[in-house]
Amino acid sequence: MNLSEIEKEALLRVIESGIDRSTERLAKLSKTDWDINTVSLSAGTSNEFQVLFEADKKEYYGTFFTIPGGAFVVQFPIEAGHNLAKAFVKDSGAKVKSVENLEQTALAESANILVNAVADALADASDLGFFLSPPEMVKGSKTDIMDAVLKRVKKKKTFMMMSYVHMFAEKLSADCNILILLDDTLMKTLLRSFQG
Amino acid sequence: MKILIIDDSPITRAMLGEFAESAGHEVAGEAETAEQGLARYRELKPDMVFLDLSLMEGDGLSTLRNIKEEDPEARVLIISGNAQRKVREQVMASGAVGFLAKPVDMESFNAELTRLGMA
Repeated sequence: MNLSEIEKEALLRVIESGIDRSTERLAKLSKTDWDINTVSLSAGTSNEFQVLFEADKKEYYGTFFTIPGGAFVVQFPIEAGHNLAKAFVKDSGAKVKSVENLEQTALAESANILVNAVADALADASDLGFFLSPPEMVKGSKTDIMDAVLKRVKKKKTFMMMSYVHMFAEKLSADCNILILLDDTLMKTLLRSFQG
Repeated sequence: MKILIIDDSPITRAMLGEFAESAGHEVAGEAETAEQGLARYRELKPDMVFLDLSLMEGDGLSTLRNIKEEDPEARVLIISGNAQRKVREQVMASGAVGFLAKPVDMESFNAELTRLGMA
């Protein structure tokens, strides 16, 4: 599906408003300001997106959520994930600090809160409502994470739209990437609804 | 007041539990799936349920409807990262007493309890 410039702008505008809400939520849960330095939108097959990630061999905590026709993915570099998780539970008591797999659990919930802000923006702009799946976590390279996502949404070789967002918190020495993957059908539904 | 927390995230259950206890309430039980949540509701008959919309095996909206069907007097507060307009309308129309968007801090939690007459 080829999007016109107007359609791309409309979609980017909605995603950016969701990302603004994400940074507000992230600031609240980490008690630190976050900034956005990239929001991009590109079209291609899912395999083409994989190629973009191949150069980065670093390890990440990946958390992803699916909806019919799409997925939301959050990637935290390991050290950044560690710093964010620490900030998330900083003011909590013994009950929270004794939760099993505290770091991963904190990151999964942070990712849930982050991506729901973007999902809220897409849903509100299109007057649709959708529920994200519970979070799934993968620790590995960006391609490992993407593999797991594509396997779950069964979208290998499918033409998709991907929005890539990078945000960071200087004081926390933390950053993260958010990927939003939408297939043709969902994209058409959203764009039709934006216009309506 | 006796509270039941239904949320798939253990860290959120623990956080809400700490907030509730610091406000003088008792966490009577916890559940992470829709089915467990309904079973715990029947067993504990809590004064208030904190319910997430994203659950393992099921969803919070159906759980809310199931609880309200069994007990029309049940008081259910939705606490969720999903704050979509349409979803909020659906949960309020299904009988929730309120909606709190995640992340929840002590201040927003206490403000909601005050609004619900639980402070």
